Amino acid sequence: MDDNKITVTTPDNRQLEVEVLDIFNVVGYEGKDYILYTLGEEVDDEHERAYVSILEEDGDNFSLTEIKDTEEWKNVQKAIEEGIALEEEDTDE
Amino acid sequence: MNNSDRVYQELLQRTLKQLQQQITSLERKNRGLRAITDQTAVEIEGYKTEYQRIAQELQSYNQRIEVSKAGETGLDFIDDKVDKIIERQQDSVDKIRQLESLKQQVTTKRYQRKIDKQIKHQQQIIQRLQKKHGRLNMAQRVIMYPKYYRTMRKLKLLSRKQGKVNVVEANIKDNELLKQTLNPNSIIDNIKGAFYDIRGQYYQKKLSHAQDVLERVKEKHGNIHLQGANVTVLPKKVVEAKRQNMSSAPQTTQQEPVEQPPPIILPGPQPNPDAHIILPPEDKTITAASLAEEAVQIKQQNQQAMQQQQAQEFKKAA
Repeated sequence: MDDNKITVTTPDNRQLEVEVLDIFNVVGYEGKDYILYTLGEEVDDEHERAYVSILEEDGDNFSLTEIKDTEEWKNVQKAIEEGIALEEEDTDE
Repeated sequence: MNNSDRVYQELLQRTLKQLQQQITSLERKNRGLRAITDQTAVEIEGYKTEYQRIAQELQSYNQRIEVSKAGETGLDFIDDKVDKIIERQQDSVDKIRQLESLKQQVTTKRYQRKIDKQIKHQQQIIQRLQKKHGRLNMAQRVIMYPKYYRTMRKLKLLSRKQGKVNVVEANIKDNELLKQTLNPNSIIDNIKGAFYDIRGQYYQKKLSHAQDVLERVKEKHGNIHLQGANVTVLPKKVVEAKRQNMSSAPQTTQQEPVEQPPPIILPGPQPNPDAHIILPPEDKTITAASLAEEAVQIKQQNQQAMQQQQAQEFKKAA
C-alpha cells in the first residue's frame, strides 16, 4: 500500500481505496480532525475532485462523516483555501 | 752541435733551473707572507671592532659626565641632601639600638610598650628617609642621563596616548556594530527571518500532526468506515503538493510518470470538447453510498471502454 493511501469500508461493505492529501484542524473547531482525500477523479485538465470528511476515532475504529453544518463547512473550505494560498506564496518565494 | 754550443746550452739550462728554484722559493715565501697578512687583517678587524666598542663606551661615559653647569649644581645639591639623609638614617639606627638595649633593662610591660612605640617611630623615620633617598637617586639619574629619561618619558606619554587611542578605536568598533544592528534593513531582515522561522515551525507542526494521525488511521486498517463526505475541487498542482507533503518518504525530483486512467468513452453521442465544462457546485454534499456507487460506475465504464478498444483492435487484426 502506498504511503498516503488507506482502504475504507462503505456502508454496503465495499472496500474503497482513497489517497489522503491532508489531515488538519480548523480554528473554532478544536479537537476535530478533518481529512482531505481523493479518488483520483479528474474534473478537467487542471482540476481534480477531492473530498473532505470529519475524521472521528471511536476505540478501535475510525469513521469519516460528512460535515452537515453549513457554517462549519464554510469555515473548512476557507481553511483549505487559506492553506492553498499560503503554499502558493511559499512556492513563489 | 759543437762543443761551445753544448756548453752554452748547459749553461742556459742551469740558469733556468736556478731561476725556477728561486721562483719556487719566492712563491713559498709569498704564501707565507700572505698567510701572515691575512692573519693580520683578521687581527686588525678585531682591534677595530674593539676600538669601536670602547669608543662607544667612552662616548656614553662622556655623555654621562657631560652635565651642564646647572646640572652640576643640581647634582651637588642632591649629593648634600643624600649625605644628610644618610646621616639621619644612621641617627635613627643608633637610637633604635639604644632603645632596644634599654628595653632589655626595663622590667615593666608599660615601659616596654613605650619603648616599642618609640622604636616603631624611628623605623618609620628610616622608611620615609629611604623613600626620599630613592627619589633623590632618581633625580640624580635624570640629571646625568637626560636623554635617556627624556626618551623614557616620551615613551610613557606615547603609551598613555596609545591606550586612549585603543579605547577610542574600541568605541568606534562598538558604534559601527550598533549601527549595523540598528540598520533598518538588517532589522527588517531579522524580523522577516524570524517570521519565516515561525511560519516554518507552524507548517512543520501541522504536517507532523497530519502524519501522526495518518499513521494511527493506517493502523486501523479494515476498521475505517466511510459514512459521508463533502465534495470540493482542487487544482492539480495543489493536490500534487499535498501528496508530496503527506508522503512519509522524501520525494525524488524525478518521479515515475503517474499512469493516467484511459479516457472514459461513454456510449452514445460524444460531448463537444470545446464546450465549457460546468464544475459541480462546491457546496454539493453526497452520501457515502452515492460516492461508492459513483466509484463503481466509473470502474465499470473504464472496463467497458477497454473492452471496446480491444474488440476494435481484434477486428482490425482480423
